[in-house]
Amino acid sequence: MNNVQIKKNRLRRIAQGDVFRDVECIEYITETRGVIEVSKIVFPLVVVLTQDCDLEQDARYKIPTMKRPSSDDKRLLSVLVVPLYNAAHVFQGTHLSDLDLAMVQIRENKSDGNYLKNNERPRYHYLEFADDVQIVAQIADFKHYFSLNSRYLEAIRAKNFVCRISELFREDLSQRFAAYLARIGLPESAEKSLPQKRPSSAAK
Amino acid sequence: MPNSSDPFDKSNYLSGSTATVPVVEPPKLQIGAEEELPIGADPFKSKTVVAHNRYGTGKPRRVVIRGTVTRE
Repeated sequence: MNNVQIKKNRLRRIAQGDVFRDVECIEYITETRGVIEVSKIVFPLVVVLTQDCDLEQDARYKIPTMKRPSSDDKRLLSVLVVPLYNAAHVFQGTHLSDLDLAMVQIRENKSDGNYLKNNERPRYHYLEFADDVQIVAQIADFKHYFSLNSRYLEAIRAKNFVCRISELFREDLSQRFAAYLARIGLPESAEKSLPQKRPSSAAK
Repeated sequence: MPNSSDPFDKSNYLSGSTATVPVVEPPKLQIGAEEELPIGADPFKSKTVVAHNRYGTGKPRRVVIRGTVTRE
């Protein structure tokens, strides 16, 4: 049962909810004795989560037909994205196996899998597309967000664009991401963090 | 002028001189596994949905590129 709608056309600019394929995230760049090494992770799919109004303002610097602002105040340096993983791999816990990472297995047809599919687990956002959309079910992992240089994304935009998530559904995604990012981390157990009290002599 | 084309010869780039050394060609990216649509293909053109012909079936992978640098 699909839970997301998409639009197939891309705008003249990068928009929130845009889905791109084969996106490169630079892990590190080192230089030793004149030899430079670049390590990058290529993500099959990512979705843009930067505020759409920010992206719209930034586009004014790039689209020739639009009136260019008098200052660079609204220019963006980077674009926030979240990777989308093949849901079947996430349930198996193997979606990052090519990076030598073993993730937790989630039982798809048990309660933990159903919670995830109903978007009741704050860390994940489950996206199941309609049958006429050729994208397998995906899961966004909010913990793995990263930023892309806006010029890089602009350069690959035409070639690597897949689709864009419709407004209402992207708002849902964006709001859940913001809520996850703004969560307050509490200790797992308040009792564990408290110093153990020695039994008093009266209790003996 | 550079003293040599050896990228490890520090005098080439620490003395302020420039050395043009061959840049090692990065390995070609293995973009698009067999089950993936080719880049630029319209995923919505085909009315027949085939499970192995969909986007997002692959996994993230690491690519490492090495090359020599030139200082000016």
